[in-house]
Amino acid sequence: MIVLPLSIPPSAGQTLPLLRTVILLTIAGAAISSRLFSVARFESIIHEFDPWFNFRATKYLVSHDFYSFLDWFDDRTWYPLGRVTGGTLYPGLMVTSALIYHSLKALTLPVDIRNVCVMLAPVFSGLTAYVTYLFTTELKSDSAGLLAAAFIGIAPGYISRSVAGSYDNEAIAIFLLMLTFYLWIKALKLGSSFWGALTALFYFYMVAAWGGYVFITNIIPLHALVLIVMGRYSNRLYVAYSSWYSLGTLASMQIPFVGFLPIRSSEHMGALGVFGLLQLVGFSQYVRARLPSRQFKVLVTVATVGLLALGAFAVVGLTFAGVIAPWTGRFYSLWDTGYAKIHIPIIASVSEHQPTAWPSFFFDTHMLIWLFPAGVYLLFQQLRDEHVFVIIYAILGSYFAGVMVRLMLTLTPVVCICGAVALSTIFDQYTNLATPESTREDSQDVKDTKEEPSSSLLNINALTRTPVIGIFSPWSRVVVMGSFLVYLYMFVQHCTWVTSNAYSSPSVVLASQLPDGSTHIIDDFREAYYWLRKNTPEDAKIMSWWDYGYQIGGMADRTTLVDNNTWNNTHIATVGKAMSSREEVSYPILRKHDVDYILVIFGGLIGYSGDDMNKFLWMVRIAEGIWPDEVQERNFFTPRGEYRVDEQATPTMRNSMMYKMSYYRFPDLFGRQEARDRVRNQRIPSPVTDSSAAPIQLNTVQEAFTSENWIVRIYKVKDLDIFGRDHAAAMAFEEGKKKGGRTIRAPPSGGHAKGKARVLRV
Amino acid sequence: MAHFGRRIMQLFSLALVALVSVATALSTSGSKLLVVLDPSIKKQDYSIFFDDLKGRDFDLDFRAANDPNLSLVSFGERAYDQVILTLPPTQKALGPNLLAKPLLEFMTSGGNILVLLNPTGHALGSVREFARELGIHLPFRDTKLVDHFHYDAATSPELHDTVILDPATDLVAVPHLEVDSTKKILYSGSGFALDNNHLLFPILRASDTAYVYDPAEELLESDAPFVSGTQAYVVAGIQARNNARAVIIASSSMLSDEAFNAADSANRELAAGITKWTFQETGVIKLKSVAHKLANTVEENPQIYRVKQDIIYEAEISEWIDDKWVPFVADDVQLEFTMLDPYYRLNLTAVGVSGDSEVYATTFKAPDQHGVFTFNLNYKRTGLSYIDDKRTVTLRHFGHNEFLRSFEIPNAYPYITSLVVVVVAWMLFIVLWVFSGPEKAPEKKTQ
Repeated sequence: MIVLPLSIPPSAGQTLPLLRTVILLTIAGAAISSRLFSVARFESIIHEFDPWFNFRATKYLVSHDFYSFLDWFDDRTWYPLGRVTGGTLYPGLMVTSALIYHSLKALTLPVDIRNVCVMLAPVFSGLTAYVTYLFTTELKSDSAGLLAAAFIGIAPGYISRSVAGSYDNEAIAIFLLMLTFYLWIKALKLGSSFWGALTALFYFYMVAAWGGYVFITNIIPLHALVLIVMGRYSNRLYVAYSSWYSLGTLASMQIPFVGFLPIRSSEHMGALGVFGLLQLVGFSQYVRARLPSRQFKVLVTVATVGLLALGAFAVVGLTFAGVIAPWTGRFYSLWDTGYAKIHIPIIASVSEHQPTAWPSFFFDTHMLIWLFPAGVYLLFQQLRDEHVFVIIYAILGSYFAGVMVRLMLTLTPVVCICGAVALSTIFDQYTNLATPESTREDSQDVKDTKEEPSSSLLNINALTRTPVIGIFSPWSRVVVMGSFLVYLYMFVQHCTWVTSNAYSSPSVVLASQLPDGSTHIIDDFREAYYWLRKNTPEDAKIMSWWDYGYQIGGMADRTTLVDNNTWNNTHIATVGKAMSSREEVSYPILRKHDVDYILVIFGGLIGYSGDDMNKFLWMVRIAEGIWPDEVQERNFFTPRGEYRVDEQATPTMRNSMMYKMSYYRFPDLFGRQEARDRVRNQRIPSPVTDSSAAPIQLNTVQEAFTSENWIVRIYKVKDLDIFGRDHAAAMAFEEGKKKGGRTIRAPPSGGHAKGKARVLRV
Repeated sequence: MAHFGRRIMQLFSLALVALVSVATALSTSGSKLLVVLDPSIKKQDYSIFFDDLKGRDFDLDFRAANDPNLSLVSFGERAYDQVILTLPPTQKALGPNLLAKPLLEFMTSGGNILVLLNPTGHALGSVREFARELGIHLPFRDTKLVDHFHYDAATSPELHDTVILDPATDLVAVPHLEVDSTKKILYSGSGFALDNNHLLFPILRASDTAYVYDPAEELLESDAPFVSGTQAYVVAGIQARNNARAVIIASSSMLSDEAFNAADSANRELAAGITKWTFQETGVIKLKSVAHKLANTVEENPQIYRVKQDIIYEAEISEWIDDKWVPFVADDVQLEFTMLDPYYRLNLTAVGVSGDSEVYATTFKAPDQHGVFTFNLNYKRTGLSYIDDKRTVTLRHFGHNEFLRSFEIPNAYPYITSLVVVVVAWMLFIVLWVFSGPEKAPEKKTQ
């Protein structure tokens, strides 16, 4: 269907409706089917981490009514603090699935809620393609719209967050983002409060669905501000913005998690400021129209500037007074990529919050990444109001995508749109069999639609564009068209390959290749979670690093101490401390938190690099942030600054709970051979190969379960010794029995023993 | 075959006796009492002690330590409820059934153990190990507890090794262990030392001037005795966390008929008190039931409350006195309402008697903090069974419809008034705008 735009006469702004419908349906079909790799390869399963929470919340919503979902207090996470889940989530995703589920049920189609959740993202990606089509059509033409729709349908940058089973907020948020943008453009073009209200409605949906709504909250005011500064204030802008802002803000405050943020947090102050500015500008325009006096205009300008300054001062003052919440750490980390690492390790510890590597731009968007600037350039040439919007979007999107990997997602749509604009311009030019005069006319048409201020700029552009030599020969057309067709073909190839290889793994189930080429499924996670579900009491509390909290809650249905919500840094630090301390230190922490089982992920046997030993330093760092005297990162490094787990590991490292629980009984697997950790590629001290090494002994916990490939290890926390001994002593007694049958330690004798007997009660 | 038949009969009669005795038992934990009697100890020398036990409905089973049929466990269950262990005077193994580990396991499964050390002070390795796991350090063999100031001149004029202990000063307070303080306790044997195990508590200690040493070796001035003064103990007990009890008496001679019959001897009373405590006849309390509910409701033990609700907590506690459960009365029962740290620590007040138990109750307002809270009734007093009851409930936050409506809050009236004023003014403005505008030039501003 990529080839289809070719068959459209370039001059035709309208495609045949039937053809257009067929093309769009095909695009939607391609978008959906390319996201089904994971279902075809593995099964219909929820992926990764956050989706498990969303899935669990959806199940709760489906089995309860909406209001109890809204008031949901979840006592099975963040034990014992609990989580006001209903008030701290974005309910849009769950409500959407529940609506789909209930309407399917009303149609007597019995569908498992899991399948609704799994298929939600692909279905919405089809809708995104359609909305992108509408959006791009507003910018340029039908054919550009179709191209953009095709691009967004299969672009890996978007697929990465929307494959089947990736049941995350982004699954519907990108659709809503594009829809809100489209409606905003439409409202601005028409100056219609109806479209403005529609923008507000879908803005509200977006607020309900994803925390990234702040992007809209800031980009629309920025657009309005830029338009005002460019001297393009109009009543259309006034109507569109005012109706969007007032309705949208009121609506967004209905989401419990957002609440009063729109009037109290710094991130939302821009929108409020622009709203106020618009009123002032509108008023001054009104007055100017009535009283065209030069002095008065100056006065109004001065007053405007003065009021702006006053407003800015008010915002700063209120921030210091504490009425307006200052910028959050997450916001700062958008500007300074090193900020999080120093101040908020918990944000920096998430891999998707790391700065983007250059190759991933190409990886996620392929050829579009170099068509993207060309598209932006072409937009500058026309520079209608909506083009300004896309340009702003392009600038902000590129910046944020550079800061955080996960924000590639917000960049991808604008890359697709600009790429489509560029490509469709090229196709328009090169499939146009008319003479150069028609091109000139074409640009003349564009010029006519232009407004006054930018016409001089356009003239320059038009001048640079018109003198083309040799470009109308059939050969150059064939070469250019042919090469772009090859590019398009490669693009589709690349997208399919990336989707299939990089983005379709559920990460709950791992696949590996056997030497003979067949696929081997590693299902340790589900094995372990199922063990927990079947073998532990229903109110058992499981401690693990927060990454696995949602999965334990979703798959094992057990209470967790911390999870991926990460709302309480201290609680996470407590878990970090329990993991990184000696047994004697962590046992009281475990008791205090009623921990029954500890779950650790260990990849050393099979070479799974995302295991807890590799995340261990983050646990240490986060714990050190709260208890700098008790947990110190440098104690975990060798004197030469290496992170080692072999015989050179520091005593702090070797005595930490995490190290012990990871490598407990590990050397036993290797018999007479040396025990090698395949992730860190280091030799683990083993009593067999190294006579000085003592086997790891665990006193306060006992191994309860280890999965097939040792990826998941579960330990049961022992109760207090019933005879009041400490665990090490009790363990020594048990061990002594095991070894020699009857080991009788020599009765105290001589001066030494007398000293010992002195430890007496008072 | 005949032997087998007799064995069956024996078992049957045993079971019958056990059944009958359970019905009338004075101990809450059972009446099957195993006495591991060393041949060196004559049963008739301890006839009063054993008769007293029989008189308290115990079903005594005398066995020698080397009896091949002796086992504390049969088919995975405890074969006895109580064990009295006596020790030989010489180095001899007690057999595989009486090693430290089976003894500890017996206690883990709820059995009680009374260990009577040999008057010679000799303790076998296994018993020594058992005692050490409990936190009791037994003396070396052939040591004696002597006291040159308080001794029985009649029996030990020279060595001063039959010491007289004064119940008034040397008996550490244990509930229900009451001994006439005008009498004296005769003791002959060694003494032991205790370590810091906090489940351990002393029952009878030596006087200030006593010490433990080996009479065969001359005590040099530079040598400190094994243990001396009030740090030497002759009777000490432990109550494990599962309420199983163990008591070690440093010399079995304390329970002999001779000691019982001596003039002014309090030994018999003491022995009765100690065995009653060890075998769960005294100092036994139990938590009969716990209930919590919302004030003014009837539904008991809901899983979830809301913050700031009034919660009623009730606990019923009974005590075993003689042969029945009676209400347990105390004024120091406390409830903790805990989430990581106690938010409340409340004294429970006795509000009445329900059947055979005392009802303790309190009412409190749930803290303004949502989370998973624990009702923690932790009652641990020396000599009494432990009560440790934890129940978790969820405190949820206010629901969206549980706040006061704005018109119910007087402070909100200015806001409501201004709201109404704005609405009315706007309506008036619209009316004025629509009906009073100039006829011409209407195109401005309305869009």
